[in-house]
Amino acid sequence: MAYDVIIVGAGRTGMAAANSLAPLGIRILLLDYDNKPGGWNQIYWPLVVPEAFVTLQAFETNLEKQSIEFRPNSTVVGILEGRRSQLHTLISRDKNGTAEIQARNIIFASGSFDTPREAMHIPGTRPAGIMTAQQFHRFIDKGWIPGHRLCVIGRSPYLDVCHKRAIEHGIQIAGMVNTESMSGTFENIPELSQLVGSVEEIRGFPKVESVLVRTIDEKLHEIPCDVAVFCDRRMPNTFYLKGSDIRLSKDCKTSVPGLIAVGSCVNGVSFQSIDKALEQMQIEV
Amino acid sequence: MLVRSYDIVVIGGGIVGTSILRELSKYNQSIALLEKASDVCEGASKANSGIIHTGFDAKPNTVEARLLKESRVLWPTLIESLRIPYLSCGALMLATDQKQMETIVSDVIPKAIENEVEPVLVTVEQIKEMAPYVTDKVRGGICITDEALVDPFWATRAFAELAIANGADILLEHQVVSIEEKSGSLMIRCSNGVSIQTTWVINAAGLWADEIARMVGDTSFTLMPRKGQFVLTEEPLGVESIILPVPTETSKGVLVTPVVFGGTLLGPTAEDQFDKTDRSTTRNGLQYVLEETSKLVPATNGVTSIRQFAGVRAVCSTGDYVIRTSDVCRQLIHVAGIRSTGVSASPGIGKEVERLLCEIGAITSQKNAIQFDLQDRFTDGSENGEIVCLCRSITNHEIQLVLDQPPVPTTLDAVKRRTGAMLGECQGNLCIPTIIEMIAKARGVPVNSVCKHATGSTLIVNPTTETTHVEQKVGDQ
Repeated sequence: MAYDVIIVGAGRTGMAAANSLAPLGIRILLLDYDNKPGGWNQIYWPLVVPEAFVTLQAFETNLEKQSIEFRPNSTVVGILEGRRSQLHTLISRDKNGTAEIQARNIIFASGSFDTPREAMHIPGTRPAGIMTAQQFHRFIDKGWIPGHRLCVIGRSPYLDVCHKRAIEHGIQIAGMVNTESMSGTFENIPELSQLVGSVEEIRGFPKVESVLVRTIDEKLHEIPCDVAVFCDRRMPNTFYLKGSDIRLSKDCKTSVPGLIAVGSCVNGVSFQSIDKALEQMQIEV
Repeated sequence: MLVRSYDIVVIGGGIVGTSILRELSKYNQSIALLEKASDVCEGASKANSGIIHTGFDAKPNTVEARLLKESRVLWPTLIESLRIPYLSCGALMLATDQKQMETIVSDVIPKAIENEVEPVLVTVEQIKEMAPYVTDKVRGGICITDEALVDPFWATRAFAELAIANGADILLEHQVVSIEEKSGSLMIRCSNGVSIQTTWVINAAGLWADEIARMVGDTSFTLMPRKGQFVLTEEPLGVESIILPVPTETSKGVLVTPVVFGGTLLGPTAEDQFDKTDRSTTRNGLQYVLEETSKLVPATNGVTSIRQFAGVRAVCSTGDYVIRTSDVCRQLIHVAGIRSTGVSASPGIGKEVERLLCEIGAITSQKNAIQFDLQDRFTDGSENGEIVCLCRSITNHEIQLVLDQPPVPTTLDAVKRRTGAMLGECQGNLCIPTIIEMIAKARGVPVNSVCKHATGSTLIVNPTTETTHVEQKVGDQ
């Protein structure tokens, strides 16, 4: 039997959408790459969106009441749009193989990635120790320390969280590079190693040895470090749309009726009003 | 001191060394390949455009031209029997002004005919029909239909795997530091303390072949490093053929090539340098690549890239391949100065070395049972497995399959090149921790010893307590 709504991604946005729809008594399924709901950005919640914990709690209650179905470790790898008001088909992959799941409506809430160094076209060597903030946090979650001296490159509030976690785990802060403007100074590090600018070059091999930064006054600063973390920009996680003609737009609509997209998977823009987006679905209860 | 003994030792695990190993593994002689890196294909063989050249533009009457020609005949069988991903895409050389058109007619075509390749002159209309994405400034060109593409890593790994199946040994992380003649045999010392006694040494050490030669006092050739920077993009440019500029006296120019597994590769630059190990990219280099390619395919201007990289190729003082016995040490055979045509000419080079060794009596009889084919071991037909790499949809089952296959991958990059995981837009953002754990488990080592690529490129600096796998491994033995 087809689902009324399938939600791709059980992060803050996907859970909020599911919570809004749960009272309608329709068949709702959430799929997620990870082994638990919450998404990759939970580490930022306390600082950025404390109310997301309420969303998670409500979601867990809905799961208990079985008004929502959730499949962890299930990754959406493709989509076949239903033509002329037919059902849409999602292709999902889990440990048992590939499954085709049908739905009247699909909500893309698959979030976004930290843009890796390569996508920012930063020249230099390709050593070990260059990573995104999301990867840094996954390492720390596992008890893995990726380096002794850390240079963080990016924007607040992601910078602040990386800084805080590094200090907590005994990692020395070699430098903080704010790619926008500086929002206050960080504790425990000399002001000299807090720069506003962009990365000019990565140096060192086989491990990173330093990051060359060009500050807004066009001066070059070399920051010696053995791990460099990027949390500068985001790229949408919509790899499952590769090869399809479906296009997402910032008003949460897509090029196909019955498919909507919410949250940061839409061109990397931040969280949007879920309820407003849900109005665009045609749900027959 | 650990001493191993072989009849023949090949130094260098690039596409040339593994192709030679594959040919020689058919014989009854014991044979090993020594590679200083932690995987095969870690040098010039991994960072190039992956073109199988017809050799249409090779300097006629050179060893290079002859072996490129021979390789044209050998490739189709290898591609089929070793299941090497291949793209029969052809190449278009585009002239954007009258002078370039004259160069094509007066220089490129006669040279091609001398190399027994027949290029087809194409009109502007025909070019626009075949390749609507090329510049409006195009004034004409030629089509070389037999130019093709392979995945260079896959080819190298397949050569290595077949050689292993036929009994050859591949010793990774064995960097040669000295070669001594000792009562009729050669003693090779490696930086890891291992010594290897052998009768014959094949010097296929790529950029470092001149340094291997100097270990026996042979200074007959010198290799200079030339860097080539590339930009890989997945933007839909529609490029389906290899797009070549008209060569100048100094350079073959910057190309636009499709990629076997999708995407488009732009490059390379040609930058002479002194440091053989410098594979860094530069802002100027990347900018130059985009400027040059946009003269042929305008849409490459300002394109977003999922990865940039550089390879370093060997430029030889002799101007041609050096494939011969050393004048100083008659048991050392050089296979050097393979320039930028190593992938293309590797099958012919393998044959050439086989002939040479037959002549000098180093190889005699062939084995009774020789394996010529490889199975497709990257899938076992099973649909099992969770997605690990999101952007390329690679499962843990697929990764597990390659972790057991010789030459066994021990680094993240080795797994990347075998499976495609970590190769997409997010560059391993989420999957790297899982893959580190899988490698550690397969090898029975703690996670903090897993490297990205080269020795010392560890990713975790604190002591980790993953001893259960180690104990399990000991228990198995």
